[in-house]
Amino acid sequence: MGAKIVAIEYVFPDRKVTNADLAIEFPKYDFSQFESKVGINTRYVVEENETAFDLAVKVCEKLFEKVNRTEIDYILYCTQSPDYFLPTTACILQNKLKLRRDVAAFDYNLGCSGYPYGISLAKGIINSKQAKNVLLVTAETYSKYLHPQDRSNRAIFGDAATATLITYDDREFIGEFSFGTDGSGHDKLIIRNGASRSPFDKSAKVIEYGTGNQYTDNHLFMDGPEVFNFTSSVIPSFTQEILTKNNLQIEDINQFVLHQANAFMLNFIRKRLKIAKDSFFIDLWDGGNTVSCTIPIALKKYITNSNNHDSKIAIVGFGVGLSWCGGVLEINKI
Amino acid sequence: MNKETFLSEIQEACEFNQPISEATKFKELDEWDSMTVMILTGLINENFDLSFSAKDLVEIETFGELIQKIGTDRFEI
Repeated sequence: MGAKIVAIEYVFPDRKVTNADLAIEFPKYDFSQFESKVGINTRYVVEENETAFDLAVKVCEKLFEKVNRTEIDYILYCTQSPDYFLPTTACILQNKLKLRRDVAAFDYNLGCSGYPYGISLAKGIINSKQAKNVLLVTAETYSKYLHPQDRSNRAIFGDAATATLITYDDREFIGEFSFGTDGSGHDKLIIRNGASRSPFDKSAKVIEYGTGNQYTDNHLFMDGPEVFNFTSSVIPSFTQEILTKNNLQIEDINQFVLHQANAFMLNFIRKRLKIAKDSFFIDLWDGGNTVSCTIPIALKKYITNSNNHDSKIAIVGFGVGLSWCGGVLEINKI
Repeated sequence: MNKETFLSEIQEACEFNQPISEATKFKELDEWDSMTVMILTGLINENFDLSFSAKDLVEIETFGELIQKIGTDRFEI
């Protein structure tokens, strides 16, 4: 008995924002340097009346062109952009997608570590015989949380949704996973206001950071250098640990698919681990950093373009929390 | 790690197009920007178990001064 990824789909919103578009708003900033180092040219953002849930519905319907919706018996919905404080978005999704009433459904609040967490959970749910077909959805619209004058984060983050079907199989395709948590860094990537601890403040003061970026405590704040420090110090050795746990060497992995945060950080990690460029996925040119969606988008792109029928892939997510998770899986061409 | 290895690691990680030495004024390099700062401090912190940040680079100009700040006794001869 085992679990296997059998289908992945992703969608971006229709509204496209290129570096040329941002350069009109921020004429003093050199986007050519940004483009070559960070590796992002285009990101997509939702309209004001469009939510992560709307993207989730779209991507699930895309998945159901290939997969029978009546077979779904468990929904895992990863988001930090829920439609409501309550109820859990996954319940609304069950109704909207006309899924069976005997499905399990819940949201979980994780960012860039969310997808590997979801795969690991799905494996556990299937192997403990609680479900046979798990629908893992990631849907994120950070664009709604960004201050209009926060150039850095507006250039990095994009909106997206993904849907993955994990199903039971006679053989195990999903390997061992490892986890990491350090809540002492919870304020390195945070939206302070709007929930219970600190209500939305309509007169919140504008704060400057970095080179001319602005935000308020009602908006998303990311301490970029600190997040980079955490990632560069933790993720190379963590990736090595995952391989050790799975009795694998770097050469045994066809592709390392890490959270696509930004190209220069991924390259830093790749060089520390001495992984060849061809074995290490870096492509956020079209879409940017879409939080929990980057890994499934990368998996879909890699599998679609790879000549391998079977690939052994290491996935590692890391970010807000601070939280990190990774593991190894095998995927057939899908 | 000796100083030469350290400088060559910096060169590779930061992708500087020209050769660097202890005399190089790093802030005058074409590639120098906020991302290079993160890579450089990341490299220092990982290799020497320190917690350097952008602030630690404000008052120094050359890679030689950077080595001094890290501590010459931390480098092999």
